[in-house]
Amino acid sequence: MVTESFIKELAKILGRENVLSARKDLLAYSYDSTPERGIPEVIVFPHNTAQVSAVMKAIHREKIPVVPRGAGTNLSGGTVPTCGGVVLELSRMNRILEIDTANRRAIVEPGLVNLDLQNALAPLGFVFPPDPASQKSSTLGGNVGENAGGPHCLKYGVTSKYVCGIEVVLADGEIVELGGNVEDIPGYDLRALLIGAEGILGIATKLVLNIVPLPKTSWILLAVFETLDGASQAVSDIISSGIVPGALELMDKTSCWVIEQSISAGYPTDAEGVLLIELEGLGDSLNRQAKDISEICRKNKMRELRLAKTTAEKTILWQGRRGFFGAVARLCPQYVVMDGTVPRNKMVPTLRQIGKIAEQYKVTIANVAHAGDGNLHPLILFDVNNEQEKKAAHEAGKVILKTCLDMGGTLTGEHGIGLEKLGSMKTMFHPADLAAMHHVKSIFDPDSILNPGKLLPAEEDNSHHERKEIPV
Amino acid sequence: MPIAKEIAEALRKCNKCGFCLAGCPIYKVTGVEWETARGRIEMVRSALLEHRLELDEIEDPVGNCLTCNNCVPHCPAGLLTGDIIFYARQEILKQRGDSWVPRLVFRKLLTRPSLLHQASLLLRLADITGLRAVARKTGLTRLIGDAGHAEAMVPRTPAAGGVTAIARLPRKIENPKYKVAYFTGCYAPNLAPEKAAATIRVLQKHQAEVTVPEFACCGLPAAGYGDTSSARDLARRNINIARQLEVDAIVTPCASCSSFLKDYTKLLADEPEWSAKAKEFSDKIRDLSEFLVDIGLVTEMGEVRKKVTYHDPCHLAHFQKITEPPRTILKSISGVEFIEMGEANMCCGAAGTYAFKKYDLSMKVLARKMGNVSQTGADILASSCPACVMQLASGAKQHKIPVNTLEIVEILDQAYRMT
Repeated sequence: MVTESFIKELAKILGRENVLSARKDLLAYSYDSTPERGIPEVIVFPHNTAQVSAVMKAIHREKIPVVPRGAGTNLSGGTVPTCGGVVLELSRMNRILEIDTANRRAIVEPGLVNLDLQNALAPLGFVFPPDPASQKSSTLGGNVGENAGGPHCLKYGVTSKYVCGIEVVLADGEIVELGGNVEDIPGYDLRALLIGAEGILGIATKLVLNIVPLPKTSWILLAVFETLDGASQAVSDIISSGIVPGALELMDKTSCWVIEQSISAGYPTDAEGVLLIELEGLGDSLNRQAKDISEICRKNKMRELRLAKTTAEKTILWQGRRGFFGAVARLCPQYVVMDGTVPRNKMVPTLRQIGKIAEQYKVTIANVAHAGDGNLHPLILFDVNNEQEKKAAHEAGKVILKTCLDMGGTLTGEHGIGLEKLGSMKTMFHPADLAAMHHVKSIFDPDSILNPGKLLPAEEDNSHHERKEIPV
Repeated sequence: MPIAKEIAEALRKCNKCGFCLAGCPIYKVTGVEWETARGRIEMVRSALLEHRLELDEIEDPVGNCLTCNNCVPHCPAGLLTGDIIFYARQEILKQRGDSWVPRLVFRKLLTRPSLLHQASLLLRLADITGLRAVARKTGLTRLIGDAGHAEAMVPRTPAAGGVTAIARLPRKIENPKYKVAYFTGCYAPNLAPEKAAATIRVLQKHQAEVTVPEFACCGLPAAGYGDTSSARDLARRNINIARQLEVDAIVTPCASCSSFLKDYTKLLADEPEWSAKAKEFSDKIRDLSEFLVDIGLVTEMGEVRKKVTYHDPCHLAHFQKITEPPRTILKSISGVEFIEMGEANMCCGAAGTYAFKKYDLSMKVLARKMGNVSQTGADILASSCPACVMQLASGAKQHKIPVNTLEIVEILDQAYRMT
C-alpha cells in the first residue's frame, strides 16, 4: 500500500516534479498497447542509476509492487500495473552514453527510443538490428525486457544477440553489472537471464549494445500471390534455397486492405497473400538473389513481382507494414494480437488452421507475419462492447496458440507473455519447468515486488499478488 | 452532456499503439504519458465519455497541447488530435463560463481590423512613453507570469499600420493575370506593416491585382481557446466580406490563417445555410507559397548569396500538407544554398498564443528547435508563419545563434527588389 508519507519519501529522493500521483496521472499509467488495465498508486521518474537504486531500496523496505516502464507500447500487458503500487518510468533516462564504432558497441540508457539510436548510428554507417514495428516510440530498455524482434531479425537475430552487458538494479536496490564491454565473460551468463524477463528479475539502468555495419545496398521485392498457401510455401522455399533475405514479411488480403486505408503504400488489396522481401548486399548479388526468388515465387502461383530500389519507395512500403497494428483501428479499435511462432515448413498448415478457427469462432482475423522466421501475428478483431465477441476472440486466441504449440512452435516470438498469455504458459511448459522459473524469480526477488503477476502464471499456493482493482 | 458523434467515435478509435509518442514535441521534452496524443485522448475520453475524471482535472493535458498535429502523420488510425483538443477546450469553457478578457478580444477586438489597430496603438503608446520599458524594468511584466515573460517576444510596434493603411498600398496593374484578395491576418498590418507591403509587392510581381479587404480575424485564436461560437461568428463575417469580392484567390502568407480559413467548411458543417458558402470560401484560400508555385514563380530576381534553412510551420506542414512549395521557392532564389535542418517539421513552441500561456514548456520546445537550427550553420532561418518567425527570432537571440530569421515573402521581396 502506497501511503502519503511514502509518496513524500519518493519526492525527497527524486524531487517533487518527478513524482506523480494525481488521479489523471494514475489513469495515464494504467495501460499499454493492449486492452488490459490496472491502476497504479504513484509514478516516479528517476534520472540516473543512483536514483533508481534509492527508490528501489524504499520500495523494497515497504514491499510495494513496482512496474518498470518505458514507452508503454508493449503488446502483452507487461507494463500494466495490475497490482497497484509504483510505476517506475524510465523515459527520462534516455541518453546515449557512448558510441564506439571500432569495437561496434553503443552504451545507452534504457529510456532511449530505438529509432533515436538508429538515427545516431546511421550517419556513422551502423545499425542496431532489432527493429520492432514500434521502434519510433519504444525504448531500448523495453526492447531488452521483451526480447523484441522485428522484420530484420530473420537475418540478424533478436535483441538477445545484441546485448553485451546490462547494468541492473536488483529488487533490494543493489546495483550489479551483468556481462560487460566484452562478449565472452567466464562463468554464468546471467545477462541472458535478464533479457526477455519482462522486468520481473531486475531493472536495467544501462545497456551495452552490439551494433553492426549498415548494408551497402538494399532492394525490396513485393511478391503478390493468388493464394495464401502459395505465399507461405514460397517463404519456406526461399529459406531452404539458401538465400537469407534481410527481412521476409507476409501479409494477407485483410492486412493489405487495412494498410492501404491508412497510407496508400502501394500494397495490392485483391491478392490473397503478399510477401515483402528485403534483399541486402551489392549490385551483382542483389540481381542474382532477385532472380532466384522470382523463380521460386513463380512456382508458388505468384501473379506479380514489383521491385523497389529508391529510398522513397522502400520507406513507404515499410511505413505501411510497421503502422499495421495501429491502422487496424480504422477497422476495429480493439483486437488481440497473437505472437505464436511455428517452424517455417509448418506455415501453410498453420495459416490454414487459423482460417478455420476464424470461421468456427465467427471472428475476423487479419494475418501479418515475420514469415522468414515463422513468427505469426494473427490479429483477432472484436467489438469491445460486445461481450460475446470479446469472449470468442480470446477463446480463438488460445486455440491459435495451442495450434502453434502442436505444430512444434512457441507462444511468443517477440511480444512477451505479460498478462495476456499467462494461461498458455501452462500449456507450453511442464509444471516442473514453471517451478524452476519461479525458483529463479524467488532468488532475485524473494518478496515478489518486481512486476508481479507477469510472465509466470501464479502457483497454486501463491496468490498474495492477485490483481486488485483500485478505484480512481 | 451529449458529446459530438465524430469526437466520440475518434476517442474510441485510439487503440493506444503509442506511435504518436514519436511526434509529440512536448512529450519529447517532458516524457509524461498524458502529454502524448495517446495520453491526452485517454484523458478526454475519461472525462467526456466515461466520466471518470472531472473536466478540471484534464485542464493540463488539454491545455498544454500545442495542437501542432505532428502526431497525426504518426497515427496509423489517422486521428486528428487537434480537433479532439479544441473540442475538449470548448467543453471546459462551457462548464466554467467565460471571462471578460477573451470575450472582449474574440467578440469585439478581432471582429474589426480598425479596433485591433487601435489596440495595437496602445502598445505603441506604451513604447513611446517608455511605459513598456518601465514595466519590464520594474518587473511588472514578470509579475503577470507566463504572459509577461513572453511579452519580450512581441516586437516594437510600428508607427504607421493597420489594414486601412495597407489597403492603400496596392498599385494599379495593367492587364492583370490574376485578381487576388490579400488576407493580412492580425499580425502583419499592426506589428509588421513592412511585411504586408512585401507581400503585396511579391504578388504584384506576378501580375496579380491585389485588394486588401477589411477581413476580421480568421478565428483560430478563439477556437484554440475553446470559444467555437466566436470562431463561427468570425467565419461568417469573413465569408460575407469575401462574397462581395470578385477574385480568383484569397491569399495569405500566414500559415495559421490559411489553415483555419480552409477549415471553415468543417467549422460550419452543421449550419445548412452556411456550409455551401463556407466551401466556396475555403476553396479560394491559398497559402502564398502554394499560390506562387501553382501559378509559376517569377524567377527573374537578384542574387541572395546565403545559406538558408527552413522551419515548417505546423499549420502548413501538418494541417495543409504543404511542405514542398516553400522549399521550391527558397531553392529557386539564385545564390541560395538550401540546408535541410533536423526535425524541420517539429513545432517551434509558438503555437499561436501558447508561449504566453505555457512559457516554460514553450521555451523547452524552442531550445530543441534552436539546437537543430544551429547545427545547419545557416545565415537565414526562413519560415512562413508570423508566430513561428517571432518565436524563432527570439530563440536565436536567447540561444545566441547568428541567424537572421525571416518570412519567405521577405526574402523573395528582397531578391525581386535587387533586379
